[in-house]
Amino acid sequence: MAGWLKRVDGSGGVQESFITPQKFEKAEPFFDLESKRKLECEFNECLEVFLKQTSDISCFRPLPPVIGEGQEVDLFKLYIAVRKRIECGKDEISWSLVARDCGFDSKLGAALKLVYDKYLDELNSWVRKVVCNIEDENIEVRDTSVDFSSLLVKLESGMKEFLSLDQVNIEKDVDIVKFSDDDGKNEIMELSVDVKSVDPKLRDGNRIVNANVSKNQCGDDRVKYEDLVSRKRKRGCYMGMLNWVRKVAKDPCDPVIGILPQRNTWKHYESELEWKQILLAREAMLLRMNATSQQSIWQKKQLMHPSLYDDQYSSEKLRSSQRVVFAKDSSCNTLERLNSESSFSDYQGDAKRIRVGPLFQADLPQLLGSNYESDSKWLGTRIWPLEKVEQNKTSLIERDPIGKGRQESCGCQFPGSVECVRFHIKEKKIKVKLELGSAFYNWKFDGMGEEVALTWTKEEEKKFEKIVKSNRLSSEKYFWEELFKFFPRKGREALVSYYFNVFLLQRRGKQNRDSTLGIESDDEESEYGPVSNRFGRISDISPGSIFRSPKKSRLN
Amino acid sequence: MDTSGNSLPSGSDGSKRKVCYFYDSEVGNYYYGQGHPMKPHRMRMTHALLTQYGLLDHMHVLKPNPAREKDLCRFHADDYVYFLRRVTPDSQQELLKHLKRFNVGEDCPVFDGLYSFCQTYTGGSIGGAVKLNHGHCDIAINWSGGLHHAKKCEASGFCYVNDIVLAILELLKTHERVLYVDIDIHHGDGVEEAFYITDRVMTVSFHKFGDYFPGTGDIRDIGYGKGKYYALNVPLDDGIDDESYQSLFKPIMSKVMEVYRPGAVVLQCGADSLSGDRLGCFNLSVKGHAECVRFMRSFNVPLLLLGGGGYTIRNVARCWCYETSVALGVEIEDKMPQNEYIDYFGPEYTLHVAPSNMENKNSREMLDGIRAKLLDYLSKLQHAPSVQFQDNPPETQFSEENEDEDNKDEDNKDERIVVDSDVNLDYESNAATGKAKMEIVEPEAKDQNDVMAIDELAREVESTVIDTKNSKDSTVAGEADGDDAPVYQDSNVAGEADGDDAPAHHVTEKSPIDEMDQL
Repeated sequence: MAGWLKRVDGSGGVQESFITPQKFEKAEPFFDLESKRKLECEFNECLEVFLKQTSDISCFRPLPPVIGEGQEVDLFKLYIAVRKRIECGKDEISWSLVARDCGFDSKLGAALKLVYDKYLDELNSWVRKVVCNIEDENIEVRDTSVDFSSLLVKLESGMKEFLSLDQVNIEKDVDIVKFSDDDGKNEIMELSVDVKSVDPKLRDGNRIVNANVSKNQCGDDRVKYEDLVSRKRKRGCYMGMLNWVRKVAKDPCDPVIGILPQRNTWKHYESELEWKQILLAREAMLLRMNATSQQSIWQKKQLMHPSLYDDQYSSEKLRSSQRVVFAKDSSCNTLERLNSESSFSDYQGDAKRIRVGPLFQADLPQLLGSNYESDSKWLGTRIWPLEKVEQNKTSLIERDPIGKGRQESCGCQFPGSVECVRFHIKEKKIKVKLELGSAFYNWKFDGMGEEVALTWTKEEEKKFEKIVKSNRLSSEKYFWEELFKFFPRKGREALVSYYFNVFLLQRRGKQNRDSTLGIESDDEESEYGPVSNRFGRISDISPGSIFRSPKKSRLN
Repeated sequence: MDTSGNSLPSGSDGSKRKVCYFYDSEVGNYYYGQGHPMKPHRMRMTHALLTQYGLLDHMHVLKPNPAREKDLCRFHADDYVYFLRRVTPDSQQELLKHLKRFNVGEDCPVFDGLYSFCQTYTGGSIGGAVKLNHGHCDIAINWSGGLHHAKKCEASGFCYVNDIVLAILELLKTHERVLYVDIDIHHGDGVEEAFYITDRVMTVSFHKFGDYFPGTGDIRDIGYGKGKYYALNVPLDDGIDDESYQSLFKPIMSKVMEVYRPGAVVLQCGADSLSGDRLGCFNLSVKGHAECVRFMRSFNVPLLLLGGGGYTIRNVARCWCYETSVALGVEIEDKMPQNEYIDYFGPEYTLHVAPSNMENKNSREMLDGIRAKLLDYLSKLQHAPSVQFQDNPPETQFSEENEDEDNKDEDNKDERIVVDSDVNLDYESNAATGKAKMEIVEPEAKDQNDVMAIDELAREVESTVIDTKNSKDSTVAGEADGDDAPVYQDSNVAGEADGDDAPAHHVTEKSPIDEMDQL
């Protein structure tokens, strides 16, 4: 077992062992100034690459970093100073001493710590892991694919050599570091335990993170990194994604963002794409948080559209990206819709969907074919044609041809006047009465038209008109309440009948004959208050109402 | 009149259908409430107009028996029906919780007689379906029905009980496949939802889409599972006129009839798609609206005509009266006869009024796109290997006898489609000149010559069917492209802008060729 090991020896002193077989053999006994400079160069190179790789996803990191009153920090020096202490196994690094090492006032220790955290901490863990892995797996360092790794390995080996030779200068608070290859005799603890033992579920959940890391890494080591990435690192990897989200939030229509492809093609896209990362991350997060509870509800009630189950994303999860799509698609018209395939996610913004489940669909009957029988009641009661006996009576009457309309002219003194029309209606009615026989009463022709008014007194009619018209000005009034109060004996049906058969008809008749009145049509409310007051109260029309129609603003 | 007919020759059977008409004299007195645009009074106006035109003479007129609670529960949830039954304007305060749950209150108010109103209009629609099932008539009409928004467990958009779904369920007892067509301006969501996952009912809805009630009906909603491609939605925009409307309706419905071959058709004739409707925003004339009836009638498949929306009631009465005449195959004069409600129809006092000059927001490009898309869906349906129209009655156990019966049924359907020739159905010229006294066309009184013709054509159709089967087998793979359509390939009205070629026409034309191929 090779690796970065921590050994507890008998004396109680903590010793750090670096076992790097190949490198160890190569290690030069002397570490002169030139070597140090070379190492510094390598370090700077590594740092540069590293910062470049991570610059787009993390906060701004200017070089060189400046602390205190404009003092520049030598990152190499800082790195060496910290490494020394880490490798001595110190749990807590004395940052004031580090500051002194680097040639600063010890008060600046805290500032240096920040600089270290910001610039070097991640690099450090990377370096170690790269080296650790390569040693673990005995992977040949290949120039082509593992540039950065090799760089790191080189740096690390150099660093170790440097540190080992530099131990003379180590401060009192630093324990002696020595290299040893006989770790077998000692009790060994793996330092990387906490990283390696990441909960497998969590790891799955953070697939996005791994994908992101691998972007910055070299291909061959990808799998390994997935296990080794520290939590801190993971947070860092969200940065690019979050930045993207921020950007989208600021301006969803920014052409830089581009258009999301159709949902059903998503799986073909690489996880490198930011939007894809977000989707993956959200999937992971929501799966973890909601999966159990929500899914069980769906299974029970099936409230959602079944195409939800077509893939693993739920509609909820797509909310934000949908907004992006819609914002860009504000001009989306029928033509554009035509060119896209049906898919649940495409247009769930405002669009309602047909629901599927036992609560919505009908249960279909069996096909009976010739065995079909039905309850005879469905055949209804035949009103027409009349029974034979009666037919013989009515058939004697001369009939108008089918579909015949009005006569061109009549002999009335004032053709088209109310009296003229009444006369002809009556005339026609008597004729129909003879033709229809009993059907006339079955169809309640006696209860149609102005004839209904015959059972009303003049006073009643005036009262009716007065009540309805009084309602005209105060639209909140519900005139039916008044009518019921004033005509307790008439009953609802008779009042409704009078309203449609007489009142509205006469009003319309007047309008037809008097061009100054203008046509109010049969729309009671055009004269008697808006629709929203139809139940005697001012009610808001709910969003799902059939009355909500942008074209019909007068109704809203 | 165009020649895109699948119509019968107007000479013999073309103009005559046996029509049953359901009407309950009480229906006009139900009242949704002050200012509510839904006015059952319009059915009474329609009836008066029909009577004065003398149209009732040529129909069986029936008073529906009310549907009972258990009938309504064939589709609706028990608790919902129970609620409808006991809720009254006085008791609704106590049932506040339920009102909300069942979406009753705002659009769908509780009014006096609500439950009996539902029973009445549902009784008419189911009655019409039963009549058709028994073969008592070719066309059944219930203008009080067609409440297409009602859902299994809730009311919606003035609709409480979905009589359409219940009628279709009745039709499914004798027909393997039922087609539902909806020309209301609002999407027929309740019916689409009820049959969204089955291929036994195909729903086609033409409606205003986009910021409009009920919000469903996207062109991309096409059904689910087994029902995929068996729900079609035709989204339209404001101001559509007769010509634009028919440029979609006819080619699409031709293709649907050709591909789906329904045993019965239910047509919801919501009149709110007419010009000048109080809630609507289309610009159809009564004639343009009725053209849909005429066209569906021309296939000579049992037809159930239902009402629906329609909120400028004088136009509703005009429309349904005229459509009744279309169903009967008689022409009626434009000048309205004197009738009880004549003043409602002033100042024109005519049956037809000119549509408005509003802008038609449906561009040619958009209409072409919609048509192409829908015909594309239909081609997928046609070639889907899982769809076996001729052979396998799905999931039902049959005795052999029944199977035969079923096949016979199939043949009948084919006959119907094939027999309908392309002869122009010229209703105007064919208008009956004299009132045929009490003439009720008896169903068995079929013209012998016609029967002969049917037999002859049926043989041709048989060969077509066989060929379809074979082609199907051979084209199971890779037919998603739909370019290798087996039999109807050339009759593919799809996308061809003229769309005038009647598919049935092609069937007859192709049959001999197919026969030769087989030889």
